[in-house]
This record gives sequence, structure tokens and C-alpha cells, in this order.
Amino acid sequence: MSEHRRYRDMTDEGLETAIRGLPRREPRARLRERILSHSSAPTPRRISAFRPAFALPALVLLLLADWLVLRSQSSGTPYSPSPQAAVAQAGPASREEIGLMRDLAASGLPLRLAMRHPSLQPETYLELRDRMLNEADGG
Amino acid sequence: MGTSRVLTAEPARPREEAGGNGGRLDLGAAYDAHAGALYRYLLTLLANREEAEDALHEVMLGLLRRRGGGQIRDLRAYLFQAARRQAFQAMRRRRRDQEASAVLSWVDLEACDPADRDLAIDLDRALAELPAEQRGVIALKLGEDLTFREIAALLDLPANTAASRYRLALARLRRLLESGES
Repeated sequence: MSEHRRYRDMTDEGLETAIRGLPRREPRARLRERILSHSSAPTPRRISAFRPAFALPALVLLLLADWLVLRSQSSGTPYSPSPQAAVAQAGPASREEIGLMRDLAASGLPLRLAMRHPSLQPETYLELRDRMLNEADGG
Repeated sequence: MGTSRVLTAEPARPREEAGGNGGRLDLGAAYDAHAGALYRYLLTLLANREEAEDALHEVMLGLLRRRGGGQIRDLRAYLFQAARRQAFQAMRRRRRDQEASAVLSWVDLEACDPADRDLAIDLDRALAELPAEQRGVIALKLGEDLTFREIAALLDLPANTAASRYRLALARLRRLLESGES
């Protein structure tokens, strides 16, 4: 108890001096190795560091995509070969494909949109086209 | 006791090696100059060895990540401010019961002279009762022997605020030490 009494007897300076004299902890040696191992390894970088490198290619791609969309809209043709060319080149449509397109049309998708589907085979295209013409005549 | 006072002198600045890749930071030099003081500061704030080591790891890695991100005017201040942010993030993450049970400061109890061990233990316990900000200022002032101006620069505070925070913390520490006597 007599030893504990010293805090009341100490001045602030005395207390500070006593505390300053206490030994200090040091980080464990393996922590240094763990941290320094990162300096020889590829630096873990934040994604933000890559932004400048990505910016120009991304802009070019965006402009290219815009140009393609504008081009297809102005010409009124899809990216896929024109239906006429497709008719000349492609083979007959499979039964599944015709079924799919019918389902699409039945689900309310406008025929004109269904006909612009890029994987549309020529026979399907012609069948849908006939159907569209018939509907137009009927209407 | 014979403890070295790393930060009383101007710390060694890590070298920026000139190179075509925008300069390479010498992490080893930065670690050797600042890790001890950062670790003790983090340890006193967090009162948990593993958390302090993890926080120090993050601080040093942060230095690596910003390689090429411009010159750091005052590396020591930069590291201490990063350490402080890491510590407060860790404190927000942790559970309350961990905080209450932890008693740990910059003082190495195992290395104490027998005559000083009571003081070291009392100090550890009293520090655990102080708010983290006050613990941090006490650690920098008494653990690292820094001036108020240096502490203010490290913690991005006005020097007067650093001084008043320290005096408040010391008075409270003293009351806690004295209250343990009875």
C-alpha cells in the first residue's frame, strides 16, 4: 500500500518522467517480413488506379457502338445479313426455330421486331413476312 | 530500461528512387523509421495486439498502393493520420465486449524492472479507462516523447488542442491512478 501511495505524492512532472521511463513494445519481427513481402510482390492496386488507362479505349468503344447503332437505324437494316441475302445463303429453318418465332409473335412481340432477330433463318423470315402481310391485308 | 527514442530525432525519410516507373518507395526504410511508433500508437488506441498489427499492415500497404500518386510532404504525419483512420475503423468494427476486456498499452510489461512493474500495470489499467483520443495523445506524448507541435502535425490538430487534450488526459489518468490506491 505504501508503494501505491506514491501517485498522490508525485507531481505531474514526476509522473510523466516515471511513465516515460517505462520500456516500450516493438512490433513483432515477422510483421516486418509480412509487410515487406508486398513490396517485392506485384503491388495490390485500387481499381481507381486503372481508370486513366481504361478511359481512352472505353471512349473509343462507346463511340464505335454509337456509330453502329446510328448506322443501323439510319439504314433501317439489322446488323445481321439482310433478309434477302440470308434467303440466298441460308438453309431451311428448323422446326424449333419456327416454333420459337411463333411463340414470340404470339406473346405480343411485334412481327416487325421478331423478323429483325439476328438468328432468324430465311424460311422463318419468309413465313413471318407472309403472316405480316396477311395480317395487314386482313386489317 | 534503456529504451531507444526513435522519434525524438528527425526520422529517416524513406527514399524515393528515381526511375522510369514514376519512382519506387523504399518500404523497408519507411517501416524502420516509423513502424515502432505507429505500432505503439495503434496498440494504445486499439488495446489489441492483432488489431494493431493488422492496422499497421494496412497503413504500410496503403503507402505501397499510392506509389506514383504524388509526393508526400510529411511522411510521418501521413502515416499517423492513416493509422488513426485505421484504428477508428477497427474500433467501429469490433464488438463492445472485446473493447471492455482489453488492457494493453505501449508499455512492455514483460521487459519492466520489478520496481516499475506496479506502475506499468496501473498505467495499463488506467489507460484502458480513457477515451481512445486521449489514450492516443498520452501515447504520443509520454510513449514517444513528442512535442505538442509534433503531435498536432501528426493528428492534424491545432497545437493548442493537442496540448489541452493531453492535459485533460493526464489529469484523468492521474485521478484513475490515485483512485486505485485506496
